[in-house]
This record gives sequence, structure tokens and C-alpha cells, in this order.
Amino acid sequence: MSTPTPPGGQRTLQKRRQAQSAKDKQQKQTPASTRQAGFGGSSNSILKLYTDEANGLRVDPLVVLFLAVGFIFSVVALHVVAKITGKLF
Amino acid sequence: MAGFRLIELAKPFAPLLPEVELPYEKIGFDDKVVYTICAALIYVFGQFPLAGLAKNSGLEEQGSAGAVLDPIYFVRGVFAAEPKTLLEFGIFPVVSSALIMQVLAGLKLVRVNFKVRQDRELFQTSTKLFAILQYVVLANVFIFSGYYGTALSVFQIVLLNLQLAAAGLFVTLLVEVIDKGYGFASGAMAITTINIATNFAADVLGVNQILVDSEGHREAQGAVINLFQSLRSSHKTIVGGIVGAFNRDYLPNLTTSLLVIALAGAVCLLNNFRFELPIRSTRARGVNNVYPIRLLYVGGLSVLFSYVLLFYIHILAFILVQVVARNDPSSLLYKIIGGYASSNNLLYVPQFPLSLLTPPKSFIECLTRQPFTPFVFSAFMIVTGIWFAGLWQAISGASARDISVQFKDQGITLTGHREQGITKELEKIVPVASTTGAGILAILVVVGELLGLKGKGASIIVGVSGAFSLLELITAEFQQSGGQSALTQVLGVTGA
Repeated sequence: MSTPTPPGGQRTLQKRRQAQSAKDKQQKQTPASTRQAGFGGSSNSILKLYTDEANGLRVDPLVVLFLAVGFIFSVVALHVVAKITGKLF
Repeated sequence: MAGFRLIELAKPFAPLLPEVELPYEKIGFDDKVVYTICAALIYVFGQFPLAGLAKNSGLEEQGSAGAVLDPIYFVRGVFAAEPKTLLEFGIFPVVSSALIMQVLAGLKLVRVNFKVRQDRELFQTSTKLFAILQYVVLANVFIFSGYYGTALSVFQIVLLNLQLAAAGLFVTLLVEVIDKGYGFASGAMAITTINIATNFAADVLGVNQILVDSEGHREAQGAVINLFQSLRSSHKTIVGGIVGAFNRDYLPNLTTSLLVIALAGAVCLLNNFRFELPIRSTRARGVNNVYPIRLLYVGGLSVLFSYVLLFYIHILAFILVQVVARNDPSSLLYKIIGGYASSNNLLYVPQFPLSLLTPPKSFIECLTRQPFTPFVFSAFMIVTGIWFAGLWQAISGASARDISVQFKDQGITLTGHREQGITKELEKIVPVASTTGAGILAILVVVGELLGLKGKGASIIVGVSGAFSLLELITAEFQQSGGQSALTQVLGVTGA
């Protein structure tokens, strides 16, 4: 039987480094959030929700703002109609 | 296909959901200011009364017993929600869906691989879908509870549904416009912060006159305005006017305003507490700096999360007690959960056991009628806040490990530590800072709420801490804009 290798030395260092990098890799494999994966999004004190451009009905931001105003005015109009006719239904 | 994944459910709906385009080029600082303010202004204008409410749901009928009143008045402030307006649920569904989905993904209960673009998109789409779905479900809960009137016609129900769902969709899109890079940082936080600021100003300096008694006397909404008005009103003595200005309970009074200001000051103070780690460059000699780790590492998000849970608990109770059991004292559900008692013809105050998780209306009421509430409510706030902070700092991409990776990329290291030791050193500080900060913030909220601020305390804390988080990013961006901004003069930066 050969004598066991003495502790220390280069091999231990190598082993340690390997173990560390394997552990790192494993923990990095499945990030828990978009920011952890490195793609922006919510951070520690900021709640940032929609940062990726997903598939969907593309709309311009200005269109959103104008439609939102239009929607509020349509509700105003509903009130006016209700006031004039006295009844909405 | 490795099993079923929850986010796949959103796939069929993806083509239907509106999606704001990402900006083609970088948006300038001034444009961002304009977009952010416009989006928030439109949101504030959304506090417009709903059309098609039952005519008899006015004051006359509400006075009668059995009218369904506002059951979630104490969480409205935090989510910028106004009763009986288009913003009935405010920004709650957007915030809650984001927090819940992210926490589930962080706990690996929802399987998402954030490294894959398709997965990220699907996750985002499902978050948005969940938000809009919540708007629709909550709208129907309120409609069928009788909150908008008991005998609604089918047409009214459809109309209310349309208004509330469309308002929800637009709120989601406004948030998205800001988030996509047209505005500053976070849409949800910018909107809530601006709304909380608006409400605070209205509570202190609001001049609109509100009918307060059956004799037709009117008082100003703002506490300070009311003080001056009551000094010169004919039906009150000077002392009576001053006393009234400090302790009227139907509208904001000076005591609550002062308390709210004190809480805001306390948050400002807490925000300055930080642990400064000495760092140095690994590339250049003699370049030393500090890396601050704030005590409020997760900012107001922990309070927001506790309030999301609180909202869910109270909505669930509302569904069981009001929609199912019709708030009938003889029913079993009423006995188990506790019912609602009307107060001031405005609020639906939960009774014991549900009252344990309800901030009291005033400190006196807290001592005399809800003696156990301080213990249960504060335990709830602290435990959920700390749990969330511990989890969030680990999953949000700002954990000790993420920071050390960032350090490595930028060629920075902690002074006096090897590069391998950075993570370990940061792990001693980051989780502790975030949980301690969340705990202190929770205590602050509890103190404010137990003194009877009815949600104003929590909202000012969320608002101020959110404002600080935003301010940090905005100032960084302003400095990076290199003084190109037309606002340089206004912001008073010299030498730009």
C-alpha cells in the first residue's frame, strides 16, 4: 500500500478551486430573477416589471397615453349623457 | 417537454395583450421627465367617479343599515386607490402580481429560466395577464357584493365591468410605458409616489369644502385650511375651532398630519443610515472609495409586500362575509371570520377576529375595543416584512454574490480582503441590513397605524422610501446626461 499523499500542496489548491467554481456555476445556473440573469428588471429597492419586449399587440407609448386620456373622457361623456337623459339604462 | 409550467398558460393570450414598444434610441432626460409626469398625471385624472352606479347608492341610502361600504379603506393609500372611482383598486393588481410572481419564481415554485429570452417574455406576459385578471375578478367581487348598489341591472353590471377592466388595462399600460425606459425607473413606484404626494398635499392644504353634518356646515379637506377656516367661522368658538381642527375624525386633522410628517422625517433619517465598505481598484493603485450598503436595502418593498398580503386577506374575508354570507350576524361565516360594522356611513370596519389584522381607527379605539390588535398586527407586519426582505435581497439580483460578481467585473475589491473573500464578507452585511431595515420600517408602520392613521402612515412610508429609491436613479441619470438637460437651471446644478 502506498502512503497517502501529504496534505496541502498544489493538488489541494486545485481541488479547492474546482470545487469553488463548480459551486459557483451551479448557483449561477438558474437565476431567480431577470436582474440576476443580467437583463435588467426589478432591483433590490425598485420594482421594475415590464422590461422585455414580449410578443403581443405592439403599441406606441404615445398611443397608450392618448388612449388613456380618451378613455377617461369617454367616462366623462357617460356622466354627461346620464345627466342629460336622467337615466343611463 | 419537461412537465407542465405555469407560465405556459399565458402563451395563448400573448398575441392579444398590448405590448408597449421598446424605445428605438435612448430617451433623453427631459423626455423622460415629460413621460413620467404625463403618465402619473393621467393616473391622477383616473380618480374619476364611476358612471352607472345605482342612483340610490348616494348618501341617503348609505345611512340606512345594510349598505355595503368600503371594506379596504386602510390599504387604499398604499396602492393609490380611490373608492368609487375608476381607480377602485389603484395599482394593487399590478404590484401584487409582480411581487407574487417574482417571489414564486425566486422560491422556484414557478419554473422559469431567466436566461432564456422566450422564458423571460413569457414570464412578463403572465405577470401582466395576472394583473389584468385580478382587476376583472376584484371588479366583479365588488359588483356582486352590493358595494355599487344592491339592485344593479345587467346593463349597469356590464358597464361597471367595462370601466373597471379598461381602467385596469390602462393603469398596467401606463406602468409599462415608464418601465420600458420612456420614464424613470419604475412605473409602479413613480405612480404611487406621485399619488401619495398628491393625497398628502390635499390632506394638509386641500381647499375643497365637504359637507360634514346635516345642518349643512361644510369644512375644508385640508387640515391647515380647516384650522384657519374654523377660527373665523361663525358657528364655532375659537377654542372649539382649534380643538376641532386637531381632533375631527371624519376628515384629515392636524394631529394626523403632524404624525404623517413625523413618520416621513423618520424614514428620511433611516434612509441615511448606511454601512460604508472601503473598496479599492485592483487595476490602479491608490484608487480608494466606499461602497455604501443602506440599512433600508429593500426600500419600501417589504411594507408593500406586507400590504399586498393584508389586501388579499381582507378581500378574501370580504368575499366570504359579504358576497357569500351577506354580512348576516347569524351566519356561521360571520361568527368565524367576524363581520363588518358601518362607521360614519363611509367605512366598513371589520369586527373581531378579522379586526386583529385591521389597523384601528384611532388610538383610543385601539385600546378600548381592539386590545389584541397591536400584538397580532405588529407581529404580522414584522414577520412578513422580514421574511420578504430576506428573500428579496437574495433573489433580486443584488445579493452578496451578485455584488461580488459585479465587483470582479469592474475590477474592484474590498480593502483588506482577498477577492475570494468578498462574497463571504458581503454576506455578513447585506442580508442583515435588509432584514433589519425591513423590521424597523415595519415597526414604524405599526406605530403610525396603531395611532389611527388609517393607511396614511403606511402610504407615506412607502412613498418616501420609494421616492428615495427613485431619486437615486434619477440623479445618477441626470449626471450622466452631462448637463444637456433644459432643467439644469431649475435643478440648480452649477458648472454643468
